[in-house]
Amino acid sequence: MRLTLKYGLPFVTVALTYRGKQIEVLHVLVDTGSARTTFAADVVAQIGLIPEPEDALLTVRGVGGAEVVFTRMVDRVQVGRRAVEQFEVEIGGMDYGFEINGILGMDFLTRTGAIINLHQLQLEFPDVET
Amino acid sequence: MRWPDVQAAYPGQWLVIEALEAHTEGNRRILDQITVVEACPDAVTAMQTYRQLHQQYPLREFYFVHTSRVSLDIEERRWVGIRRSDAAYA
Repeated sequence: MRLTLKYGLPFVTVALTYRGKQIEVLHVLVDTGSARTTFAADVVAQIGLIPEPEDALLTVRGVGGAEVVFTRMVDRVQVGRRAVEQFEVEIGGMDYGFEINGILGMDFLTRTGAIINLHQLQLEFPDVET
Repeated sequence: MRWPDVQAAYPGQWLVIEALEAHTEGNRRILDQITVVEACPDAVTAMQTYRQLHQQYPLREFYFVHTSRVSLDIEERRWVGIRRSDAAYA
């Protein structure tokens, strides 16, 4: 999967499946500084992923205040040809003032053993042929 | 108000609430005093309203919640955020 540099940061496209519906999520940041994977609420609402009464809530606290997100188990998160089934993600507003629809965090990157190849600008996975 | 009072006053309702007093215990955010900011017709409206208020008043502590939740049980996590360069394509 090609890494696209924007704002000096590496972005990929992720395919997300929820309750049988799939969407291509563009402009997802590959972020080893984030423990968890997050998607933008406006994007995932297109496949019917919206808040439910009993969702687990998190407050993500850092520089410039806190943001409230909810978590949800999705059917599948796929990058290129590498997929993880039944994966818990966070959903938040992600109103950060630039084009970003998600964060691929360390939970996905370590689970898949992802290799961030900045020499060739590729996100690679050891058990997938490139 | 405390959470049980909010539940009693707004049964079966999506709300945007604000924590007037809150503290952190370990990785849990405990809301001690709550006020209801807005009653919303559905989940999407509640989250949108939360986002608008959060953008407008970033230092205040808002949440979008449904009153059927037994407890608020909010987990707190640290994140330093994204540091990008100003150039659109760097």
